[in-house]
Amino acid sequence: MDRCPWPLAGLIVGGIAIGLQWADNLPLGATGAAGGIVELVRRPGRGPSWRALFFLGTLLGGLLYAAVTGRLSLTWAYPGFDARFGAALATKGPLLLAAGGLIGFGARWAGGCTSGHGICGVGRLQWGSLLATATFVVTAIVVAQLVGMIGGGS
Amino acid sequence: MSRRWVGLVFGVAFGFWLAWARLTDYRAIVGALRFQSFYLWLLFATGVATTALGLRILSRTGARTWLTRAPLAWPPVSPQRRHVVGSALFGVGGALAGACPGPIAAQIGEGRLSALFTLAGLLAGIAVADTLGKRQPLFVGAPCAGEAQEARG
Repeated sequence: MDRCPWPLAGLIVGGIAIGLQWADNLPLGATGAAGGIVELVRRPGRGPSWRALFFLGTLLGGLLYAAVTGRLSLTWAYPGFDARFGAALATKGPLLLAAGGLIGFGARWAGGCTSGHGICGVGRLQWGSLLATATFVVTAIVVAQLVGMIGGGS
Repeated sequence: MSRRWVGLVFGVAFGFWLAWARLTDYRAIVGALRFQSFYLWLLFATGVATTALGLRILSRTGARTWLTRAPLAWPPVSPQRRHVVGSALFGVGGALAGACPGPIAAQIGEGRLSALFTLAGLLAGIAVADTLGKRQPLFVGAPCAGEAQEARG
């Protein structure tokens, strides 16, 4: 399947944010969803929250796409990243672990990530979300440019 | 249909969408951040505009939620220091990993096993933030109807 054209892709994610709001005043947000997994691990007795199930669903959605398009295969390769930082798990693993830690700690503290603040919060015209989005967009651009300069090449 | 089903169904749609739009691809994310492609920015702008317009129309027409027939509501979020500090840390990690929380989950679904490391870091980072009392709801102020209900349940 060809890459989803961007106008359609924008409409779909907007539809998801609107649908969650319309369903039960729920906010779209992958960080809150991942937080649902953390809470489930800490207190399994209460069962999974809607957030934990959203995160599980996101994983299953990736699986469904891979299955439908015949791309499903287990691989440790991470194209692009490997070319820049090396494909060896001994270096890739700790780097991704640390990056993931920054993502989780930072986004949780900020109260959301690209979906929660960027799409849902900005779409709701929540000013804190606009500030958060501006901050992570600018920071990510700067870091990506620096990595590009240090690493050289494409 | 319960709230849990809503979460699962929309989650599957979200994950499928992430993979279809190639947001699970390091090169797509970092290429956008280096302005080698504008796909991501155009998608993002369209998504925000769709959400803003859709919510505005629904609010204006007095739509009510499917599950509880409650009015659509979301509280204001006032800008705070955490929005800057937390988001800056997130931006650094996101640019290095070429992913954010949604794509991490979808990457694993696609069979990209290196995302297991990113996921472990993500969950640990969230757990540390929660333990340190850094957990902040998206919403500051009165929780909306759905949030309050969840807090009780």
